[in-house]
Amino acid sequence: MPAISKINRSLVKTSLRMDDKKKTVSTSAMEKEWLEIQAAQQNPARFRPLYERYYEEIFRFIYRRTSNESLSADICSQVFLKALQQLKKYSYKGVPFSAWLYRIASNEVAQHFRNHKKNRVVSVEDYQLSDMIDEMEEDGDKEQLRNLLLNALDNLKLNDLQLIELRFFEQRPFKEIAEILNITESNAKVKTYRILERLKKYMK
Amino acid sequence: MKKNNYNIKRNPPKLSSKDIEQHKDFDALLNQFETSPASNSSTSNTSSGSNIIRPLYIISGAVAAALIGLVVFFNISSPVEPSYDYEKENHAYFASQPYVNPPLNQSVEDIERTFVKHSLNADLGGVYEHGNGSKLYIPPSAFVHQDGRQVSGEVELSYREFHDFVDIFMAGIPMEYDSAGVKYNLESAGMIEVHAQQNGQRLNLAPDKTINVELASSVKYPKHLNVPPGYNIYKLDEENRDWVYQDVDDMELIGDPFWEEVPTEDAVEQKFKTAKDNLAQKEAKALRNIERENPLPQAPKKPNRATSDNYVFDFDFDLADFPELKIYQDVMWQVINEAEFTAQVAETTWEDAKIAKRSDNQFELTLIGGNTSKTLGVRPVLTGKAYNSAMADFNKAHEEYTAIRKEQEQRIEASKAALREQIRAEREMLNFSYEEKIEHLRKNGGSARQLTGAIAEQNIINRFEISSLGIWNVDRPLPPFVMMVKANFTDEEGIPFAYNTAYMVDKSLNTVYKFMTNKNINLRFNQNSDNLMWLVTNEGKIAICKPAEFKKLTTTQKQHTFAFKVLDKKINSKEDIRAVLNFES
Repeated sequence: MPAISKINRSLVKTSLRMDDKKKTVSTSAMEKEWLEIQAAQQNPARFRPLYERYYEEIFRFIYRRTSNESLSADICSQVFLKALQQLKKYSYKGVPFSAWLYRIASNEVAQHFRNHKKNRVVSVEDYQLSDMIDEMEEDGDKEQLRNLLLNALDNLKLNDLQLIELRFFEQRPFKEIAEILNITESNAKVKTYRILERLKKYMK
Repeated sequence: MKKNNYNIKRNPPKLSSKDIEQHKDFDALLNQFETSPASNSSTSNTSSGSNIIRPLYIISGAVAAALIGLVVFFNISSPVEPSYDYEKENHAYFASQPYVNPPLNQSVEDIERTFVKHSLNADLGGVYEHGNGSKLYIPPSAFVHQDGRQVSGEVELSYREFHDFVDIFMAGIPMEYDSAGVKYNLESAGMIEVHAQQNGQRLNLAPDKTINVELASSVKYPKHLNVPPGYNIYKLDEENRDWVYQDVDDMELIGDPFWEEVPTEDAVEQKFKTAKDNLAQKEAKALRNIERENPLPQAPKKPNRATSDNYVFDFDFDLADFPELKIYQDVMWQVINEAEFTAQVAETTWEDAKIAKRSDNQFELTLIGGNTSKTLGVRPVLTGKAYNSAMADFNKAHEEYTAIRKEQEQRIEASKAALREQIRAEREMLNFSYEEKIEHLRKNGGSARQLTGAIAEQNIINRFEISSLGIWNVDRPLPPFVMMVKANFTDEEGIPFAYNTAYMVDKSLNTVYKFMTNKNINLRFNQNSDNLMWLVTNEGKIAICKPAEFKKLTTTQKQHTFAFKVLDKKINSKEDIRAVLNFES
């Protein structure tokens, strides 16, 4: 099993380094929030603090994928409406409530682009590309590498691209990415590693 | 490679929070939700239950500091029929009883005996140290008479502590707490009752004096929180029948926490796999050991007979160098490859010869003469009588060898069979234990239990000051339980309990829930914990409903009749109560 060992070692190295800077939410904060959610499950009016807390975050998530303010507002409304409609089914899984909202938002955005047969928007900042290049340990002219990476990203399937967006452009921890994309945490890690390896190849 | 033509926006313009804010409208969302078809089904439970579940309120004021974002439901309430208001009757039922109401008809003397008495000089004050390390720091001139006169001289301090549900139950201390109309149950991290008297007369604490308290106790909390949650200080106001918030508790953690692991399903499975692997390794190692400890005898070597094909010769060598050749008393040597034994080799007079082992039955003979040498492959052989004699010895030795080997092989096989049987039994136990654990976990809420995990218990010192004598509690209001069933309560013969005070405790929480029994009560409880429920019958007997009864409930179950076992055992003391009120099935 030498190949697997090699992958695992690289993966540990990569994920450890990446985890250091990802957004995390404390367990006690999540548990407090779970009480709010339980309250909202009984009384939808109690959803207000959750709505207030996450509206902007979810809106920005959608906006990065649509680049259209009014469209983002429409989709965001749909996301929170669906969240309210499905709230009774929600159960705490040790990840922030926002991960569940992101999952709904991700599905709504995908649905929108499917329905309208348009190409999905990918918003990316230069520093995010630079961070990714650092993560991939690629050396060379930064601007050239950024262009190569942008070009390489266009080769990725939508599911893979979403993973890269969540991990590198939105700094989500793997546990949340797993919840948003409905995959296991270890699967998210392995996939990320493999996508990075693929991107490296595309950049050659 | 296929391109997807994503619409990639590099460094796109950003929206401000203000831009986003203008799209936000929760009321419109709520309105849309309430008028959307999906909401009708999803909220039907809420609306139909609105008369049985208290609406939620955010706590304000002093309590809010400790309970930001905490919202609760009334724990137990239900109409038996539309016109019947259980909540009202439950309230009236308890309102008609003493607020602090020991349940077992204990006499004043019985209750008085639960206090520790301590004498001190009221003028000087002093420190009272309780058996568990709790301390009361009483300042000089701390007490006044009921009419406000300063107390001088010897006073008697009465002090007791309440640490667990049995203490709370036996003392009849209410744990319900009303904050701005919202009902909670308080979870205690230690409670004290302190009084002072002189000549049989109860004293008060002087208005300008406070007693500093160090209450040694322990708290339970989910291990993954790392530290206990925040607690507050409450004083029991017996006159107004409620707890009154006083301050935030200053809690010192003493030593390391300890806990009983509550395994998750994944952890159990992982442990099972590891145990299975370990067992397989143990089996392999033990099998190897059996073979090592019972080595098979060495087979005797069959002597070689010289053939007529190749050249045979003799030369002297030291037999001590080659003990395996001892059967070759009159050993000769035969060339293996006749081609090597050329005429030149045969005709040369060699001055010296060296022999070295090449393989089991082959040797290397180096012939040396002057500056030349020749190496030949040779094998030891016997001829004539010597061979016949060696063969006779070999046959005898082989016969003995075969018998010993057979015996040894049987011994090894028997040991291996015993080992395999032992491993099989261990494996079976392992499988059984795994299935049992998984079943237990699933019965107890499986995935939800993974959230709760282990409950840690931490020794603590609570530091606070009391400004009056009476009952003081280090507490926190508890969030509601999620699981709810329409509950009925009967004895084992199915005879219902109605208008009895029932008590319920959750093993992971230090509190006692109290309610009046009746038909079809909405009973909320923690499905992820062990729950114990009991009541005192009209005959003064204890009737118990053990955790196993709660475990019969499925997560989707709507109704359940809790069958209580009425105990004939006479209850005389707290120890008697502890003996029967336990979580063991």
